[in-house]
Amino acid sequence: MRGRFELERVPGGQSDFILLMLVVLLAGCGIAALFSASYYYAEKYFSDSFLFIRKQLILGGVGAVFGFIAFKLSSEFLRRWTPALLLGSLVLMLLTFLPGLSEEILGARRWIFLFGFSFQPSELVKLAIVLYLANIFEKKQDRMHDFLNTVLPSLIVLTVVVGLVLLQNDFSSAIFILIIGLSMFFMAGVPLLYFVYLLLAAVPTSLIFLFTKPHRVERLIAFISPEADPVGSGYQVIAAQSALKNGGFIGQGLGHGIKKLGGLPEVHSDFIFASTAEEVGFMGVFCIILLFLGFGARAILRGYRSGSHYDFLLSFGLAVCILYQALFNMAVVSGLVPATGIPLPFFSSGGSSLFVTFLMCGLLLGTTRRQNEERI
Amino acid sequence: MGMEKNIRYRFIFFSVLTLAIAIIITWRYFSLMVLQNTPISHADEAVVVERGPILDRNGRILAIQNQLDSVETWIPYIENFDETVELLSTTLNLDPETLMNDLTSRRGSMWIKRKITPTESAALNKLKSEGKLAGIYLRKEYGRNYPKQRLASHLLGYTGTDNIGLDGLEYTMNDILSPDPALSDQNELYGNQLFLTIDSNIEFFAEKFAAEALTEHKAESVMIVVMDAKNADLLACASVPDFDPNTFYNFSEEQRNNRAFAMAYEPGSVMKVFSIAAFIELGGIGVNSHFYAGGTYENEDIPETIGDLGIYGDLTPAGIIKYSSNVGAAYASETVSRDDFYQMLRALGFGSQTQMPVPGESSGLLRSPDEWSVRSKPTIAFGQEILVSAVQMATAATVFSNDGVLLRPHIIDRILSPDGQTIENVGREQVQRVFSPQTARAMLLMMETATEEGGTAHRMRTEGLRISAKTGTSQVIDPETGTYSTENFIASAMAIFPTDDPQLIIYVVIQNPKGDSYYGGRIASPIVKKLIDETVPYLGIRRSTDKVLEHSGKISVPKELNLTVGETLPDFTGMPKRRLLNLFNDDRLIINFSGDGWVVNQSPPPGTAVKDGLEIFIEFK
Repeated sequence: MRGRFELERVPGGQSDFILLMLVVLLAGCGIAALFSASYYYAEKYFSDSFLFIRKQLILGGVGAVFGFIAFKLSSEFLRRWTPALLLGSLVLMLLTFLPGLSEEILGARRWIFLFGFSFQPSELVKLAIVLYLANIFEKKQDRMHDFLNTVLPSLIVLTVVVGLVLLQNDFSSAIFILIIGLSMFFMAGVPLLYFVYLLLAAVPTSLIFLFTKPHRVERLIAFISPEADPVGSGYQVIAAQSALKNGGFIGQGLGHGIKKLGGLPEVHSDFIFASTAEEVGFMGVFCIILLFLGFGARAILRGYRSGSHYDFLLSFGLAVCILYQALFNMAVVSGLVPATGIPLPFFSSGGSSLFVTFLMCGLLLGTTRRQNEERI
Repeated sequence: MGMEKNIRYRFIFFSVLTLAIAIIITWRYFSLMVLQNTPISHADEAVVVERGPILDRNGRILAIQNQLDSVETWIPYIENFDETVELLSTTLNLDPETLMNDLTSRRGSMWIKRKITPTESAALNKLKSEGKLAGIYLRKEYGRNYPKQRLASHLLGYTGTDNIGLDGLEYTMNDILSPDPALSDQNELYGNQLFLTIDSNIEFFAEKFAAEALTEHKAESVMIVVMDAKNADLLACASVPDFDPNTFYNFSEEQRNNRAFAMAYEPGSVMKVFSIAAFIELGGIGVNSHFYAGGTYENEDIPETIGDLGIYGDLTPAGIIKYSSNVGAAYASETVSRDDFYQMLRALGFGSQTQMPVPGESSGLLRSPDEWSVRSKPTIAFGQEILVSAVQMATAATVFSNDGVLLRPHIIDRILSPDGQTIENVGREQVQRVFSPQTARAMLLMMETATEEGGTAHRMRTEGLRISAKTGTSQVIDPETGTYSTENFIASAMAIFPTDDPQLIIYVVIQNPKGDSYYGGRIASPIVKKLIDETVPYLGIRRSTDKVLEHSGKISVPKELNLTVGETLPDFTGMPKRRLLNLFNDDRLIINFSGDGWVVNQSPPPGTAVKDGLEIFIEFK
């Protein structure tokens, strides 16, 4: 009886309603926040208040279409094409080193320019590595203690990806991909002892990378003491905190923040949450954090209960990607960790981030669709 | 199944970890936003402060705020560095290498040039409209403009890049002109309006004549002070060399020196008017006392003699003033004590600042009597061994035009708020009584003799105007030798007029003239005369030669008679048009007017019989 009841409530081919609503809510909040944060800047520098919002809507729309396609894909199809996707995204990464296709922005080569839009392949790489790890760990779930056969190949792939991102001068994305990958290692059941070995190897390596580029050290110093360089790297940190302190409990009201009026450089991008927080106050911030947590929890729990190890690992990886990126960004904006170039999913302007976020959501909803189908 | 359990533990561990991270972040936001909630004060933001204007006593603008563009850049949006640097460096006259260095070594935003000229703005806007200079932006900034350029430059001073007064009244009155954004929660602040006692017209002439004299007499500097004798308002205060406050940085320290306030010098014989008046006031001498000016002053205590240019013989105090006899003044000084004389000079304001809000004012030098030598008293009596400033001298002269009361001089007439409310209105201020009205009056009459034929100030004689005057020529101490120079002199002249009811004090000082003459009577008096000729008609000071029209005060305007035409046409010639308007009421006539003014031609001619339908043409001019 119980099964029949559920069949009626969740008809086959449909996604998890709660998860879908959470995605819609987050996307809506993100668009509203971006418009409020960017219209002044866009008007001032481009005489077009809707510049960022229009780009965001176009790429969001494209992302939603691709997301819907991803939603419809079967897991077999996904797994068959995962190696191709991984290779493809790695090739795109390599393309950023070709001068004709890419351009150095703010000292970093991360973008590919095509048809008037720029694309950041490292965003796509995140998705690819999650798909790849979910695939390989599901296949070898009985041999998790076999270091040479199971752990080493995936570790090599992860290292190559992280290395390529590092070569693009994108230190924080590299670290982030590493964390995603390792958390999947962890959840897939890789023995804890291997993590200890890894840690022993990783600490000196990352220190070397940290100190080979001056801007990383600058950011680190700016983090430890933002006042040391108030007009340089520390400026964003100080400006963001002053915006937060201006916010208070209930905020200045949507559209009424003042920090975006020139006080916070590039506010529509990585530091958008400072402007949003100033306007919606701690109350709003709390709600947004709850939305992200709810989204992550719902996605992972659905995966955990699905019974499919692949779907579990996949939805875990994707949810961690979005949830941890959000938490990472919020920590940066509030000055808990050093300033990085990690955008806030759904919020920050930037087509590739939004596109990949929607793609991930499509895949996530897809796993719930498959679970619902299995119940029929 | 061990695997399943393992994953379950890991899942729980991960969930707890995530929740902990989320709680830490939430707490961080709570702590920043709620516990450390500090609303951004407007002082942190770009508050627009418009500095108030400085105007002359009649409201003519001497200094005003204007908006100029500043060039800033957001470096990531620069598309073509080479082109941008080339265009900017040629348009804004910047060094291309430095600019390229700045643009490539920095990230984010920077100023390229602040407060560019409107011409440069127009050029940049044109380039931008052509789609060039991506990433380069113009931002309005307030700047200071002095529309009358050099006029009153020393008094006004100037402001720096951040609109803070650096010299002159801009410096001393900075708080009045530019409100402190920290004390207000307004986003736009406006400074008060500062009205000076200066009259731009008189200032213009004073500066013009000073500049002319500087060239003509090859002098080091020329100072002119014009003061309202009744209330000690400074009407003009000129010092040349001068400068243009719009581009003050192009001028030397010498040119920016406000000498009328800052320079201390020995005034020479003009000082006699104060010392002789002091001796009279102290009872040492009377207006009828006699002194023998036989060419030298004999005093056994004083080894060096004091001499005159000539032998004037028996002199009354009036004679001492008229012929400017040092010997007479020295003998007169014997009648009073050092301390009394010193107290009188102090009371006249010598040795202390006038306290007008102009930076760098000299207090002059008046040593206390116990530092005086035996020679000091007679020497000070004719204006040596004492240092004064030009404004000090003019201010001291107010005792004569105010029945013996010294006035406080003013340079600020009134201060109005941005919306025109009076904040401060400076009026006549008495400092103290120095002389009795009789003494003051007597001195004016004695000084009048100097403008008589044979007097030292006869060159400022003006038809129909009684002028009390005194000239001076003093030697200047050579800083190298410590003795009086034979080349450097201070030539000066002072006039207070009209003698019977003084309205104006004019004081002219020429420093180190190297022309044909260095005598105050010869070269300073004519400048006073020029100023008298300009100011007397301008200020409406009465001269006895002014023609006074007798008039009952009633004006009768004859009523315009409406013209009517009888049997024949009258002669309209010379009549105004309005007087002929009544012709239109005559049904018999058809009237044609041409032109405006008065009738010059009519057709048909006068005397033509009037009948129904007669057409008349009248031409006006």
